Amino acid sequence: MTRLRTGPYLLSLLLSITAPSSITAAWSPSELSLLRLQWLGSLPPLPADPSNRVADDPRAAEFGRRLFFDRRLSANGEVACASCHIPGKSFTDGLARSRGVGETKRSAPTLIGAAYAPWYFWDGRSDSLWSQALGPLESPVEHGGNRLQYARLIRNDPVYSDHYETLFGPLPDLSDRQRFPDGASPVGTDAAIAEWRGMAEVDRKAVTRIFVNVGKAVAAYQRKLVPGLARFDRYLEKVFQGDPSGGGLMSTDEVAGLKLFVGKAMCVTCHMGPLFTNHGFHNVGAPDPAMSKPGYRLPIVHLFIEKPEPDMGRYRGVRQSLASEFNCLGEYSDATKNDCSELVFANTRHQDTLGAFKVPTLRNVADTAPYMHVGQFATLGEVLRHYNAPPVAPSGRNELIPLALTDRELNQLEAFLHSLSSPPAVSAEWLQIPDL
Amino acid sequence: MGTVDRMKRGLPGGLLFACFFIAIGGHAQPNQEKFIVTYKSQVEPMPLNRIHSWRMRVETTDGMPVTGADIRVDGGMPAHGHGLPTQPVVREIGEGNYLVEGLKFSMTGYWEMWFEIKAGGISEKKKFALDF
Ligand code: HEC
Ligand code: HEC
Ligand SMILES: [Cu+2]
Repeated sequence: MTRLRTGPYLLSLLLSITAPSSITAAWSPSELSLLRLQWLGSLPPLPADPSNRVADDPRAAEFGRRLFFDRRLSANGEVACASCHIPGKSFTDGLARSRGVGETKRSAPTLIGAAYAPWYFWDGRSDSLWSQALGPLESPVEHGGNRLQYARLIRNDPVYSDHYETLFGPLPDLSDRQRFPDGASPVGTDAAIAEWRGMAEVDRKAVTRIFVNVGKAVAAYQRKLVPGLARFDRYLEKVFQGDPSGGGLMSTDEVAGLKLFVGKAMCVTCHMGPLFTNHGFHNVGAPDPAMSKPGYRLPIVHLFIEKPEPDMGRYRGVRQSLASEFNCLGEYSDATKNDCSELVFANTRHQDTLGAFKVPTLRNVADTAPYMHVGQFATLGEVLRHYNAPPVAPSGRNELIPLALTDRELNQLEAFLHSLSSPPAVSAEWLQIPDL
Repeated sequence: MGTVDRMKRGLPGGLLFACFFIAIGGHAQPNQEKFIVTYKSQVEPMPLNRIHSWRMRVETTDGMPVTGADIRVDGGMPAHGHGLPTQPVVREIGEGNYLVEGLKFSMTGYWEMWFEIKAGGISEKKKFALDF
């Protein structure tokens, strides 16, 4: 390893002797300005979330941390947020499809740095961290519970009710089983839906309000999970300080990979900025598992079995977020219309959204296999081969341009992707189950 | 080619970009401009990957403000084959001035913006080129 590094180091040493003005000779000025955009030092402070009044209240973060790790928030007492977003795995679970009460349709993304995003889920069907959390809690394959069950848990647990009431005011009395049955929700099991229909409007709203506030507390916790400096950032810091070797913190191959990333391979067009995402939705034509099922293209088969539906990604996600009662403009949001420009100006057009998925962060990517929205690729090598020769998209139009990189270059890109790991910049107690 | 406005600005990353626009209206005679359009970003320098608005002014070739125009916005990155990340909306604010709200440029590179302006039975398409 050391031998690999001495080469460029000597070269740059030589350069700095012969040409003292070009101290960072390895990087051109235009590359340096792109690198500065990727550097964690350029990450702005976490933007406020006006839709969540308690977003930056430390008491809400503490309450949210307890909720995040609490398995009682599930149909079977076994599933917590942390079951699929495991702190030791950069808040992912290592699976293509996650397992809660059942199996999910998509793969669990990391939560580190997620609070910076304007949209959540691979298709952006939520426009806030708090409304995102409400999805898995009532999904029959994830936590599998319902909002009335959760409201009652908050009400009956003395620690939780205490936390809750300090933040959000008095909890309603939920003990009248005529008004508040065992479980009820507008989504989920048929039984829960039937019970929900039987409830009075004002009681439904009271329960939904508690449910929403659970989401807001969990969001406050997740806002703590901002990325820490990776080896890549420390390398760049040295480079910006005028040390062309970057303190020897990255190998020659990693540096070559970085050069490709911001240059010829054009990764930086989408994976732009200190979080390695432009927070947009793009079509990169990852294979759709639904369409690789045997017989997908044989019409006759679909006379007998239902034709699997391809994942339309953002096309459907943006419509769901616009229709959601939990969006920025809805009655449970604390925002005013002016705070909701992402939603108000959301692009719904067919040609810009069909088959597009959220550009994921690449921070910690070496630790978050498998990759893409359904874990279609097991390794980074497979991802890179896909980028090198992009196929026809399963739906919509693939935006990628063939790269024709050599095997050596692909290996360098992969090496670079290993320099982006770092635990979140918070103290360890935020990453473990609190003492209840 | 009817270039009305030329600007140079710095980006946070120290990148310089120039933005100018070219009128492409009038099929037979490309120089037959019908409207003169100028714009200015409400946020300076024009921010990368952040929603912002432009203030736009529409005048006739003899300098009269054009009111009540129906303006459509479209755009994208031709080289990357994608459109705008948002769907901007144009609102009239009076005396030939308009607000283009909800604009966002989500990556560095060459962007095009197209404006279709209709007023008083006349219609013209304008193309703006932006190099981030
Ligand atoms: C059963 C596993 C599972 C559980 C439990 C679970 N998640 Fe997830 N999470 C996922 C999957 C899978 C996705 C992606 C789903 C999609 O995009 O359709 C996801 C997506 C997310 C996202 C979106 C990230 C992004 O960048 O778009 C956030 C945030 C998140 N989960 C937080 C939570 C919170 C908070 C909880 C607890 C209330 C939770 N999750 C419970 C599996 C799970
Ligand atoms: C046109 C925009 C675009 C470009 C260019 C692009 N990506 Fe991506 N990238 C995406 C999107 C969108 C996804 C998610 C796709 C999905 O889930 O179907 C993604 C996913 C990934 C993933 C998987 C991450 C995860 O957590 O699952 C990796 C790794 C990755 N990209 C690396 C790269 C590299 C390296 C390059 C340059 C060779 C590159 N990308 C170029 C948009 C882009
Ligand atoms: Cu582009």
